Amino acid sequence: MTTHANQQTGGPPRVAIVGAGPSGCFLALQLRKKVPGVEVALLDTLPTPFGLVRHGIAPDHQGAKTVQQQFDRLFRQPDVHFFGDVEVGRDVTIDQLLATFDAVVLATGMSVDRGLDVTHDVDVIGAGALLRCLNSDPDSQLRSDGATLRDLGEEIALIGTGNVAVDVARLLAKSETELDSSDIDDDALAALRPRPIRAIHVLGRSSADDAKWDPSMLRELGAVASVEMVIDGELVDASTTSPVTRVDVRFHQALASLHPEGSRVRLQTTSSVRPDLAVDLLVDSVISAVGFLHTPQPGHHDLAEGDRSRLFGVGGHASGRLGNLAENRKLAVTVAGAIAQQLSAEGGAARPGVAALRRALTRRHVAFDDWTRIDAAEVERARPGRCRTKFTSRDELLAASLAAPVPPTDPGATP
Amino acid sequence: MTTIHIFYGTESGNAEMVADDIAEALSARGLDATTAELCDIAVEDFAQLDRAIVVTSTYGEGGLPESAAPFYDALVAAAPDLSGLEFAAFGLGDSTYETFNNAIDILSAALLERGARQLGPTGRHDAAAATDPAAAGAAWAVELTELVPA
Repeated sequence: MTTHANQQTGGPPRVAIVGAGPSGCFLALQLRKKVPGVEVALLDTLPTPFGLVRHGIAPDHQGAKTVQQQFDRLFRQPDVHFFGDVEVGRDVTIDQLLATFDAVVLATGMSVDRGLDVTHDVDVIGAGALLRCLNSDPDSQLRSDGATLRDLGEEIALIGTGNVAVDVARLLAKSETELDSSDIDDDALAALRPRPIRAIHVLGRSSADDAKWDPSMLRELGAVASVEMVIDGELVDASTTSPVTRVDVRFHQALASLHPEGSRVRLQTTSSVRPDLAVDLLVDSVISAVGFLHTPQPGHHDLAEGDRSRLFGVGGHASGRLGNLAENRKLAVTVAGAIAQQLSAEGGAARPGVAALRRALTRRHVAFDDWTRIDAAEVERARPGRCRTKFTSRDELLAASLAAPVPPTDPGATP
Repeated sequence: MTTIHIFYGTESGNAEMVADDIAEALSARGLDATTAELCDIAVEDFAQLDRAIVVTSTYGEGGLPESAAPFYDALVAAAPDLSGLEFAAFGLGDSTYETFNNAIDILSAALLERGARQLGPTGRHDAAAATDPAAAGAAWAVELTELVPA
């Protein structure tokens, strides 16, 4: 697709987006609409595209993952290129990208679990890392430390009352069959939860009204057959006949201390509003779901002013919030408008783009066609009751990306 | 030729994708179609149109998505005369929720209330059926052109 205007000015501009998650993809979709013929390269450290749509959205929320169809269609457009298994800082630098593309966008998100604000010497598990693990992210901190996954035990403290905390509680409470048609990592779940979890103590700092989770998410958790939910000491729904997991939610909880006691953890809270609900617990594991921090960036602090003005941010990288799909799409629409305006003011491509990036990379990258082979192989090997069984290591992913060609999938098919 | 203006309300972009494919299906049949997000049209401009298609998902507890809600509120407040408008409607929903495709019905009812005339049946995609919403939208648009002469 070439327009008359672009023919006058050295061809359509070229944009690199660092991070092929939902924000990067939403941005690319909008740029393709606003800037005719724009060439877009999406780089990701993972060999797979779609970021948190693949590794963050809960594996039993396949409906929310249908957004992937938009991204699938994006990558099948001409002039949109996926560069998987390419790490900025290792394989290419921000300076190189700025020299190669007319605009560079950081869409690297918030991949680091925020820590608890109490000093402790306990191994606290980040909710993000845990969800990534159950979502087969090969880079989940729980997996890549090299250690085998640790049994979480029968009694868990879960700090935080946002949607991420609800996802964790629901996935850890659901039985194998309640996870039907999901793509959960069954091996990871079996290692983390070899037997049912008896109690999940959900401890929130805010009031019930200020809790960040969506009411519909909490209702969904309460509706899980094996869950008995108690909120601030009151049983929410007594209709569950044979509860397996008690989810005990308490608000107004200030974490007071956290320390090892044998192989378990002693956790104490205080509550100025409801002192009667403060806890002194002995639990097997502590999971923190208190927000996220920015993905560490390779340094680009000493950029020239002209270069800095061509560097944009989108998604959590720009907002400092993980956000949901809607929020991040909205931000992408705005940022795409700003980029389009700047590119149009500059009048067409001034830098070599994808062709030069390909020459600069010394290692093989995973292209979108390679990803379609991984995709097909994962669906092909889906276990009974699962819509997909993902590969869990980079080696497996890269091997599948090199496998013999499979018949092209229908681009219109729902994933 | 009358331009068919396609307006979409969306949260995660799926209704935008459907609107794009409806536009493409209409263009392929020689019709002139444009797309815009519902938050980008003023009610007074909307009231001047002859033909429109509205596409929206249903959000949360059966409500309008964020990019459609301000348009709906403005429409109800301004209460313009829409007797010159013919419209068609396509909704995206999930039948596992009680409020399946509620938003498109809310929006259609508001247009009808102001005197607009609906062309053809309301299209209703069901995410639970795991079919491609964009293909469903395009097929619905083609059926519409057969029902309604350009």
